[in-house]
Amino acid sequence: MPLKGASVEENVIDIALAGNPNVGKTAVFNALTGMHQKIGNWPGVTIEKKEGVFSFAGIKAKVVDLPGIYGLNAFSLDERISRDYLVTSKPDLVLSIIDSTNLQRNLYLTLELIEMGLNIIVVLNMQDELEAKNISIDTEGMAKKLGVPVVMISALKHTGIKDLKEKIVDYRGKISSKTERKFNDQRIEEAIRKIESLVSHSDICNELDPRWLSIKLIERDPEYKLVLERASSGIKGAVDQIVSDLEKSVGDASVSIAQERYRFIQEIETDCVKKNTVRADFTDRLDRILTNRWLGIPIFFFLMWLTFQVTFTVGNFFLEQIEIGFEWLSESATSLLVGNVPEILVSLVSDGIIGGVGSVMVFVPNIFFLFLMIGVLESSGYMSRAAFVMDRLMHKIGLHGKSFIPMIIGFGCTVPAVMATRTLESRKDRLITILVSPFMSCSARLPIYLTFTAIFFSKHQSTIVFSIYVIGIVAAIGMARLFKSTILKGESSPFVLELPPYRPPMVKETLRFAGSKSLMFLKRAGTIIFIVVLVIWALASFPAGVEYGSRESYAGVIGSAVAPLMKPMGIDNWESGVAVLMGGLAKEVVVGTYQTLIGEGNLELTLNEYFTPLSAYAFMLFTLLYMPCVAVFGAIWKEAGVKWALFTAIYTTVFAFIVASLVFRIGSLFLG
Amino acid sequence: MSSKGSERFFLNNVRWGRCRIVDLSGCETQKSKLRSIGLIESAVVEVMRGSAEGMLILLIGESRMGLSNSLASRIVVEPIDERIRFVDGGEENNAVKGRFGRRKRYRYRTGW
Repeated sequence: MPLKGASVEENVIDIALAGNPNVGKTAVFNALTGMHQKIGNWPGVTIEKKEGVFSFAGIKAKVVDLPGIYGLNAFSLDERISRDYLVTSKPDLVLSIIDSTNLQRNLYLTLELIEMGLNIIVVLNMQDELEAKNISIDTEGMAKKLGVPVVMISALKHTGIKDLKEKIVDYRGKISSKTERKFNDQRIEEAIRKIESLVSHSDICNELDPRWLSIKLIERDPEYKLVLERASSGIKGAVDQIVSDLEKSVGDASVSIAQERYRFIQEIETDCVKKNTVRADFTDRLDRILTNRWLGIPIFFFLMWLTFQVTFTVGNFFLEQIEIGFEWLSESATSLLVGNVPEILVSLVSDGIIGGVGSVMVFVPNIFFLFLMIGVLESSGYMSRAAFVMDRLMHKIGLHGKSFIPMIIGFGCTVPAVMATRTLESRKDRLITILVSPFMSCSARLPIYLTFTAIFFSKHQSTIVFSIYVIGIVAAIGMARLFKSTILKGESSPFVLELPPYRPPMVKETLRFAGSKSLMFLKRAGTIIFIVVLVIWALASFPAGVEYGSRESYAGVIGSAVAPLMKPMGIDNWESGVAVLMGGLAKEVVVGTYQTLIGEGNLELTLNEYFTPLSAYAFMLFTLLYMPCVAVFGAIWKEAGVKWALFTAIYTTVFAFIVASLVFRIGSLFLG
Repeated sequence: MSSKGSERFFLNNVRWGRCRIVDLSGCETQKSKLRSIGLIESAVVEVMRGSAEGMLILLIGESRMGLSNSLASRIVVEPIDERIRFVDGGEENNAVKGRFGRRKRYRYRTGW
């Protein structure tokens, strides 16, 4: 039997990975394809579908990793992506990934997928946890009950992957007819049959399985009621009548169908699962502390502070070594080039390339340790708890805790934070979260803080940086409150948030996550930052004949035009004007701009001339709050539209100016 | 400590203990999602931490779910655990007396 939509000659098979959030779909995806997509221990890591391929026994498989869904009723954007893919793309095979320690909740979706008429292999993931909990599952018995193959694996430990691949190859030949699961309640079955016979001959069914459409119509699924609207009034009336008659007999039909599914799941659990232990309460005990009403928020802030402490204390050791390396490189390059090449080229290499790019690259260790700490928090299961404890606060501003997850992601980078808002169901909540996400201080701003705190607040570096991050959170919450009560009014939508069990951080994955983020930082340093630094160098060198980095250079002219606007913040130098403008392209560039502009001059001495501790603090606040970089601008444009992207750029800059000016002016009253 | 086996409450009034979901009609738009996570009429759930402390933590099967207070305040439950505890004043905040009119009250008492 040829595969649907697959080329027989090439033996290509389309596989989709579907399952509840946080069941390890991406881990299975990585195990199958050998890729290294990000995994975590919180629901919502995957927010868009990802593709990969693998070959096995002469078969080439195209694998699509879908965002997690609990059922086939889509609420949020990420859920819609999954549901629409399963409904419209009709993959040859769906791997229904299940957390084997939590069958009850996971099998619900599997049953819906089977009802949908898709070709399914059930993949019981987390075999290692199952064994640790002393639970055993009769996979053959389960396969018999479900009517589809069942494979037990541990994607993280890479056990059972070969079996799974063999099952895929084996099952491939059997993809010919769908598995049909009947409901025990004959009244429901009868209604399904009647509707099926009505819709199967009409054109509303062209892409959908008639039986599945019938079930959805009985459940009064709003999306499929719209499909029914396309049908003739005769069919529509008949379907309504069948559903009404059924409801007279069974009550709410959607409830009856759900109860039928859960009854069947219960039956599977009773017959196929042996539990020898009581529920482990480690997570409960830890939750009592970490999500405590009074301790929850202080613990969250303590963990944040600890993150910066590690980022500074450990990261700075490596930073100093790299700094020494770059100094040596700059001196060696200069001595090698002087006399051999034109002076302008010596300046380009030592001031521009080594000075500018090097001043950014030295922060790679700090970036690594920041992401390492974020990775540990993510893979331990704390991420959901952070959203949980912040819910009370978020509720007061009309949002809910789920909005806080994208904000936490923003500590790493604002682009994925903007994308992560897809998990929010309400469009207004989503927009508000997008608008305030840039206030969460991303890793690109870290070099600015590290440089300025090292020069002006060397004894209290981590505390000062911590305060900047806290101000970012407060600003985000404050602006969200303002938006919620003005331009984006609306009720806070009710929500459900899964709290996954605490797990030991995945060492290899966390290191890989931190490594890949550091590599990305390095790549940016080698590409966009390199280009921007070259532009700054050129602006500082021309027009011909001017002194490098002088007020008469193009950079000086541009900076001087911006400088008056920065005076209220206590900043009275044109170099900062250029740095802020260039920072709009990429925040990492701010420090590189100073270094490039001053050439061989000492950055510490120069900044000491330009700033006082108070104006340095105001400047850090300004860079925290002002317009996001172009990448974030693009992400907001994509997710919310150009109008909101422009609005974000303007309001954040105005807000940053007001806050930084106020801090400087009020601070001046006390500090003189 | 109090037993209220014969009474029905909104979920947000329960601080701790096991209860059975009786009515989800108050959260119509979220109903299908709640169903897919195991929150269906007649399901037994365990409140691990009441919404007085922010969100509510609910154990549904093996899943720990955080429910927003606004959602919990629309779900009617009946306690099935003698050791159930209520939030302050929660015992008096009976779902039947507290929120619904005579018709709904009749509906809950008679099962209509």
